[in-house]
Amino acid sequence: MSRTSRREFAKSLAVAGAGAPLVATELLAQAPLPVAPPPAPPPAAAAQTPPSALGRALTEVIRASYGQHLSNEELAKIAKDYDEFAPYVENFRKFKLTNADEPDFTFHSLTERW
Amino acid sequence: MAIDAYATLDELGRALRAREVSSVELTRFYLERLEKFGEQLGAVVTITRDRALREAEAADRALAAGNTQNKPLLGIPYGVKDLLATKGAPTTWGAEPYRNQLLDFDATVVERLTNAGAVLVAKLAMVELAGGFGYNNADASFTGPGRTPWNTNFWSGGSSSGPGAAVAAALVPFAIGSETSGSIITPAAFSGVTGLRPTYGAVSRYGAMALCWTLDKIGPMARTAADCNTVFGAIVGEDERDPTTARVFPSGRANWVASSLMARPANKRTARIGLVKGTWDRVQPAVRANFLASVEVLRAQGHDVREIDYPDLPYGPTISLIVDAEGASAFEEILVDGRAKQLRAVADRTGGYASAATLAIDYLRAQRVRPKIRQALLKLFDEVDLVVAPTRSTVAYPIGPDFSEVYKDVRSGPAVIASMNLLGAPCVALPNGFGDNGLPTSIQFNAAPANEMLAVNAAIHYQSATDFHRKKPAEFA
Repeated sequence: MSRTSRREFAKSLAVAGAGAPLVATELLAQAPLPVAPPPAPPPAAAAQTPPSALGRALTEVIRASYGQHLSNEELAKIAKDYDEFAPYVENFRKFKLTNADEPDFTFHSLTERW
Repeated sequence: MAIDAYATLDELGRALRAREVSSVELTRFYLERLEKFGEQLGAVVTITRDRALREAEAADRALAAGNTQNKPLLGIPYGVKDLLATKGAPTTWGAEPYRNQLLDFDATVVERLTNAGAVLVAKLAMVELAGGFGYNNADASFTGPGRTPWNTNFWSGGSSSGPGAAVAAALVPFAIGSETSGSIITPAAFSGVTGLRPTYGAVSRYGAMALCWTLDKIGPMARTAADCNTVFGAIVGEDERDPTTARVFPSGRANWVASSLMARPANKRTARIGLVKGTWDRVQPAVRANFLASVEVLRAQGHDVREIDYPDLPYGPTISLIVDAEGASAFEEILVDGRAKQLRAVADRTGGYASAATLAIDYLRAQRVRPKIRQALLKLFDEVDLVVAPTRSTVAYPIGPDFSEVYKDVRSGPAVIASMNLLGAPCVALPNGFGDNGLPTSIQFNAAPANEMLAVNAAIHYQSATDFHRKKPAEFA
């Protein structure tokens, strides 16, 4: 259910083409493609492509925060996972919102006590 | 009296009240089954024998005194997913880093079941951290993979893997599971039992492991929809220790409609049922055939059945980003100290680290898209009472290969599970036949938030016309 398998999920979409995904996790096993899905590179090509600038930058954030627990291979996997998920996040960012659209939780300065 | 391990809660309750069997006898019976089959199925973490026998003795005293009013669970054993705190036993969250964790109090749900006279016999296995770090394989718990009793080479589903397997093999009459996005109804489907995912806020999460504060729900898994309703009646309701619980659900059995009353033919209520287009076209053939046969049952029962177009919204990325951000925050401590590397599933060992770098702006965007999703789905519920689809597009996954490596030719269609979890809507998943490798298939009935009764009522009456919920896996009969 984390980014890793959601990127696995994205990868499976790339294999599946249009329509719903194959299987990944119970979280996303029934998730549809995002609106107007972006093209994704085939897995073999993706494996050989160097990480994007954003993938490298975010992975450096992880290295700086938690690097003592992660090998270079694991960090490379995280960078690769980012890049596989990135097109879906990019597409998600195109979903139209206005300034008036508030998050689905509300802060209350006054709390009703029981 | 010979005990039928697969008896319903109503049947067990009647036998107890008629003193045909004592709670201690019943408890010992299920303890034996847990000890005999629990490990084989990867279903059990801790058997709470001493506590169970104490609670059973107390139940027998109450039964002898005739204190049975509004206590349909009095004397009946049960298990809980091992993410609920219980006094006197470890609460492991299915994860090696928390294997020895002791939380010395009872979660509200456990407390309420204790007050209802139910008998806690086991803490049941689960996918580590409820799947929050991205497992992609059934072997994702320190207890090993949960196995469905219908074919133990296959997974019992997750993340409530133990409750699914334990109910299906009659190691317990009912269990408590939890769902962030699919974790009750998936194991219900793969294990061939009935699961009720309540409305978000209907059941207190106090004492439950948090994976995702804006999505987590606690709910029952049992043999029948009536059983789920009975358990729901005991655990539902506001709780001052969980501010997300809603006052639309008053506490207490007296406020709930008894399953026996709902099950009467005269109380059958027909519903407007919407079948989600695209959810049965490219699923496994048996899933499709069983779904269409179920639809015919629903039509024959007088329901107004129609096909509906599902709103096209970005459910997948929305729920993914929310779980990423909230899950990484919930388990930040094991990311910081490195214990995340002790997790069983390879994907889980790095997944949480990747999630920790989710951008705040993306998380907030997801929470801002969520009201749009709610509006669209609530509009759908203006037109139909129930949104119905196959619970899963396939039967259970085999144990061994990664999930992404199997069932590659199947498409599940619109994201009913993710979307209904984003809405916080209730759902009943119930068995509707069998498919490949002798494994069960399932159908899901979703209702608008706070309309559990509609889904449960339709499920109870569906089960009055079918007997899939009465089937027993041969090896565990």
